Amino acid sequence: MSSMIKKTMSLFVLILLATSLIGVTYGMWSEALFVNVTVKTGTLDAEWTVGTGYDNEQPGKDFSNITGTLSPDKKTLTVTVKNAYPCIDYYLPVDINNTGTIPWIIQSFNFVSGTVPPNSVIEFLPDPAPDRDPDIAIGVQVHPNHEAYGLVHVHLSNDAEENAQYTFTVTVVVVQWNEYTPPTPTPTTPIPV
Amino acid sequence: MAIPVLFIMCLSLLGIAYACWSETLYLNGSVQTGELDWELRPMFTCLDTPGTRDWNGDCSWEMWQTDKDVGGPTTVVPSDSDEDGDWDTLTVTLNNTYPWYFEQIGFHVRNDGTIPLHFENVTIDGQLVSSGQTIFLDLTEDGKPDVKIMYGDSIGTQLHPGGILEISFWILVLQDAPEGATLTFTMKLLAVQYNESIWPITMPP
Repeated sequence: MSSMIKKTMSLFVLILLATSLIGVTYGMWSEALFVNVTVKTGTLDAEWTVGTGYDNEQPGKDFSNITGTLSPDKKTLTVTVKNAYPCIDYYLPVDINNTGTIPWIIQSFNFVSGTVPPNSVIEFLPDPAPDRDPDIAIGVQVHPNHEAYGLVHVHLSNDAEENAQYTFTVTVVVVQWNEYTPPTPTPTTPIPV
Repeated sequence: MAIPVLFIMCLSLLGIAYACWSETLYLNGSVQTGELDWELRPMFTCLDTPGTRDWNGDCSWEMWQTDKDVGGPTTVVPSDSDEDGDWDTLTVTLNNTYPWYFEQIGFHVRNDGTIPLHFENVTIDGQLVSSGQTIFLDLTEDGKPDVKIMYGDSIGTQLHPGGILEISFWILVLQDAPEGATLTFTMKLLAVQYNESIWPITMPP
């Protein structure tokens, strides 16, 4: 019986101790201040627009032409030259628009000549229209809602074959304005294929 | 004969009892507790105010002002979330940010209670930080950090009633931050009564 009493007393003391300990912990006064931070990021985006192509065929000799069509997302421009023949220069006006919210800079062009015959030329030329800047070129910076202008120039050499189909690809990379790295050495223009 | 004697004895006993002089002392206890409280105070500052060119930074916390006003402006708005009459929450919003965009937020805190307090600790999204420590936050939970934060100093400082501290922290947007996103985190600044803090008690200046 006395053992039972001792156990009960011990349990009681333990509960008291535990309660007082918890009481001290919860009893410490504290006050918290909060800083809620929201970081909204912008968007980096670019799209093509394309105009009406032209060439230097002589009057009355308009047998070939250059056209451009855009993919639904306007990220891919498909250039088609129909009934082409050597020594004609084909020009297609294009713009690269900044449709994002952050300025970007043209970092690089990657011309993949594909099956285009040797000594042909595929390049970007400056926009011939006055008062329209900037031109499409490496290092050119474009702000949101602005564009860079240029011409896609296609010129087939005498190595071109009849009834042939030649394909090429040009990839234009734009980067956020504050992470542009100038190329070394600076590539020359035009870039022969 | 016995009855009158008993009657007299009872009366005399009662008479003695009533006649016993007495004095009662009272102690009316009153404990008026103080208040532990601190609040956010102006100036609330940021780098990217309207019309200001952006600041950029890099991994080593090198900062520079750019020639563009692309991001921002940053807004810093205090509020009283528990409606006790002082500002306890600061809502900071960085707008149109991009990788390497840098911002510094500054504000003051004031002990508007009646007992000294210790600026006990700072947690950012539950992560305990120390003065001058840089932490990376993966706010999109894609396994890659989106922003980098460096909390300034003053943790462990004791503030007496009326005392004011200046606090600041840095934010850098990292390469893996997604475009067009809204990223949020919460910084909690905890103060406790000075005599139950983990920090040493100091004398007032």
